[in-house]
Amino acid sequence: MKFILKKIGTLIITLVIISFLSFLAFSLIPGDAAVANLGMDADEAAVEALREELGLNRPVIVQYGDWLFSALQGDFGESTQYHLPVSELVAKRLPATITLAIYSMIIITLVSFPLGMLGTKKPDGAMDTAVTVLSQIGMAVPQFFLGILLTFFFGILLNWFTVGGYVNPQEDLGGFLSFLLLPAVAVAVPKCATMTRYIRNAVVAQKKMDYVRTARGKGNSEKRLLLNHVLINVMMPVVTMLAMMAADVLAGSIVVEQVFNIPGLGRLLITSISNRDYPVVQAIVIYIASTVVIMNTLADIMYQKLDPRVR
Amino acid sequence: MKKKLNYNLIIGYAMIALVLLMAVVGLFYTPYPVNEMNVLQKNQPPSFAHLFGTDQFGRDIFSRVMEGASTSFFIALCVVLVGAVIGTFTGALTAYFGGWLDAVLMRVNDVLAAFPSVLLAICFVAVIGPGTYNLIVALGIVFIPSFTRVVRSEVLVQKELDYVRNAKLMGAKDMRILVFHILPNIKPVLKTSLLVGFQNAVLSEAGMSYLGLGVTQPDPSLGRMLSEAQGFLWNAPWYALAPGLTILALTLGLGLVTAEKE
Amino acid sequence: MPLLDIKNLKISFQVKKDTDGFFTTIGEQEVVHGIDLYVEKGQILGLVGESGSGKSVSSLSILKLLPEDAKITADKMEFDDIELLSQTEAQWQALRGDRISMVFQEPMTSLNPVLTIEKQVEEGLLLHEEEKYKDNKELRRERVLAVLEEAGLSDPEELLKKYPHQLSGGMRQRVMIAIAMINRPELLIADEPTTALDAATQEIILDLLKYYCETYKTSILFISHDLSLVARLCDRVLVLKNGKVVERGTKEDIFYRPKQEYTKKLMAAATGKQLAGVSVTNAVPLLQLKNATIEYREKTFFGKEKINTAVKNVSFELYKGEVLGLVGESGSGKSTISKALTGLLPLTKGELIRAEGTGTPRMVFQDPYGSLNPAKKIGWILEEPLKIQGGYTKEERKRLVMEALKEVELEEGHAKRYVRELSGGQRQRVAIAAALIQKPEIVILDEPVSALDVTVQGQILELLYRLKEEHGISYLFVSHDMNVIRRVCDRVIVLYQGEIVEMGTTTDVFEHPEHPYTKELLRNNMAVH
Repeated sequence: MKFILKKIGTLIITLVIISFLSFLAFSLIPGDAAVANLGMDADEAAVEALREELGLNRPVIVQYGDWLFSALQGDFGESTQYHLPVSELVAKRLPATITLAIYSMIIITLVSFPLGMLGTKKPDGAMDTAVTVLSQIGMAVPQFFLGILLTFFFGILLNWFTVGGYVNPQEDLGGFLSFLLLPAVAVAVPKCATMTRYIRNAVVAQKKMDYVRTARGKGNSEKRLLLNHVLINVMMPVVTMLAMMAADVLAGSIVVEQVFNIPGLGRLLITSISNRDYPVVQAIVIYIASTVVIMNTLADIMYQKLDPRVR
Repeated sequence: MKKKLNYNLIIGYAMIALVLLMAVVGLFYTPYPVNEMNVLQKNQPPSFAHLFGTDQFGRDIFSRVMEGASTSFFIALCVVLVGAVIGTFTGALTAYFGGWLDAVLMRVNDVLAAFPSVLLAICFVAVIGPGTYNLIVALGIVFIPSFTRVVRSEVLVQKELDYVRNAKLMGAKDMRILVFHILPNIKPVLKTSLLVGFQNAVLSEAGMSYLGLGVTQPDPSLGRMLSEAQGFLWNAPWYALAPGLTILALTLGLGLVTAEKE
Repeated sequence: MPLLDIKNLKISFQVKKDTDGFFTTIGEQEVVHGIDLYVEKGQILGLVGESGSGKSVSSLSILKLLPEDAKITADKMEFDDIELLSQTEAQWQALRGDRISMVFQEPMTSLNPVLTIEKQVEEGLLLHEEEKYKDNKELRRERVLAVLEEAGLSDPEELLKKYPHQLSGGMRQRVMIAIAMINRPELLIADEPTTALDAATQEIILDLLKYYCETYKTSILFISHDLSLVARLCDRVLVLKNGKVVERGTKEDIFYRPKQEYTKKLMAAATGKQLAGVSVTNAVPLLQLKNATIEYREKTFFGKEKINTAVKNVSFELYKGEVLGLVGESGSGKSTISKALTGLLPLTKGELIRAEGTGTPRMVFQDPYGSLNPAKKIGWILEEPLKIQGGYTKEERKRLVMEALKEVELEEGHAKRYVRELSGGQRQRVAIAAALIQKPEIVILDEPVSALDVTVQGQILELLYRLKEEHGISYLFVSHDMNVIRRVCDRVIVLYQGEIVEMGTTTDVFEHPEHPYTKELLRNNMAVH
């Protein structure tokens, strides 16, 4: 319990630091909200007046306090481009990104476990080498190139889906889910490969441990050995690693949303950067970073619960 | 005695060498001027005249891939150097001397680790703007923490070993111990980190350029070529294949060599 | 008819030679070259040898627990009339843990770290008598409790839900034995089962093995590097060296009438030939430790401080030319004291006085691999202290390095090698050369021979003795091994939980020990009867 409280304490401190740093970074950019609102050629006096009105002349720390106070109430300011509340914009884009992330995590979990264990019966044997090469390719392929290849094969050659034809979940949930499958594959493949490799190495390493020899000495079959002794030991670091992978999955979706033209957070982020719509950029960056920190904290707590040695 | 060929290593080196050759030759010679447009020759499939075909403006894709490869190599190399030099420096010093500086640096590292590296790079570029040199700065900073972490944890292990105690007893000064005694022992780990870092740098550069946040016009870039090619998948699929496979050859080659060296 | 009968056992492994560029060279290496052995029902056979003798590999081959690349051949390998080598994998599984069981050296790593003790003990029942135990949890638990209690665990109920890391080393090894004995096997293979344990626990485990042998007529194959243990437990003994049998016979044959030179050497190392003998005149002490207390402080979360007292109020002197032994078990504070004497660790209270003209003591550590820089060549390692000291030309340094190598009986060619290319004994010689090259007055030897095989131990001890005589150095000799201490030390200090419980000349301490802890140490450590 003390451990969890301590973790939550660190989490809150980290969240404050993250949000402050992001806030600071975007307030350093020349051409602030006042300029953005009035245009580059606006009258100097008018810009100065608007600055005063928006409170941009106050010290950064005061501005941050102000921002944090409203952010905690769900108010992240207004988009300079769309003139809509940032929270509304983000909320609209959230379902696609979250679905994509969950989808990818499911694929990673379902594929990497069996694939990782496939070659471990005979390390460096033919099957093991095949899995190794496959995971090397998976780790090396850029997600957007994979996305383009998938688009070409399944969208253009086989015509299984309409390229760029994103389906709104409110209109057709089934269509939405099936459209997101290929993007999820593109996000998942490199992480799947990393995970497969990790599980493979962990299983091979565990099988060399003394306790495995003991278990064999009791008369366990190889299959029982793997399932009852090795897997439970491999599981603990792997579960935490899966939780930590959330960061990479979110990062991957930024790029892949671009490839498949999915209106998610990632696309909103990229378009907002090109339009210098900083309140939106700021909110998304803080949102993603916070999600990552929270997932990492959960991973830590989970490990603590799972492993009797640190309990 | 049996001799077994290490295929992974051979294939890995061959792939890197191929891309490196294209990149180096591309610095001095390309079959066609990189930005020469030719409306009559647009969207041509691969042929002897144009090995990888031409793009929507009739530019030779092979020439552009060669130039793009050298840009990728250059950026990735700079990024890894920036990350490794600064990372090794801070990691080794803070681990060896400890104290409040170490504590502060670790907190900063923790915070930086909260941002997925692509997101962090995007933030930097959003602040300082795109372009080849800005990209090097942005990715370079993003790559520092991973090197710091690796070097730090290695030095923490090494400094507790008896040979370091022995050196202290001989009267060796701290910097001498760090540079002449400890650093040679973390060289193997550093080598693998450099390889892994290089692979990540190539992937990150391509990704950033694909998003339009990296190399800007008119410099050719493999990542940006892919984003342009995406619009022509229907009538010129080879356009996307050429830069994509070049990146893949480089990263896969690096991956295979790393896996073999581990 | 013996229970286990092995004729001409050969075992070889595939070894991956260093990967050289694009090629990996794979060779085959035979490590056991034709061993014959048999075990009678209810008998204990001792298998003795140093590292690399093939004793562990041979015993693992009986249960086919070797890695997959191992090649095992034998003219005969019979267990109760079953030819083991022609068994299928399923038949092996039926034998393992049911009729033949095994106990290993390291009880911590040999137990699954994330399963409860109950799960690990009851597994043997589920594997071999599934119908009887599968749906009968009560019966299973009853049996588990009985077998734990029989293994000398006084409160078995308490243990069931615990994990291995929550138990002490001795308890873990009892659990291991309980696991091995749960199906009352006919043959128990015990591979250095007491090596990782302290002296007192060793004794208990030996008694336990004897008990099983007498009560259930269990045959035991007992593997050890320690002749004194084998002497107390076994009926017959097999001495192995480099994968071959050197000598075999009854316990009495081997201990009182050894025929082979190697066996005699092993015996000499176990009993110990006296090397000490300097009586200390009341000269000025080189080094004085006065009322020293050393504490480790740990900061816990919320800023509370935890204080660990490693050494309490310790005082002693080290005189010129003597060998002072510092004895104690792990955690007794002996390493802490040696670190403090070199100045690597500050004293919390008390003082450390060095006589005028006496430099910082040098150290030789237990593990020469860790104390010599693995990334550097031997020549560099030996030259480095001279470089730091300064005042030598390059030629002088080279000459001194060569002299130092000769002094420790190594060759000039060794200067160009890396530490990993040397044997354990050679490494320790380099470590000694490195410690002596600056001509220190005092050298602290921290378990200098504990990581070495007994025959090599003898050579290193003799070398240390010769160097001391020639250069008039004083040694502080830190060890947990009473045999070694007796051989080399002039005076002895016995440490227990950070305090000195006994101090005196070696003869006094060994022949008239006063403190009960010293008596216990001697009883457990010295026995070759």
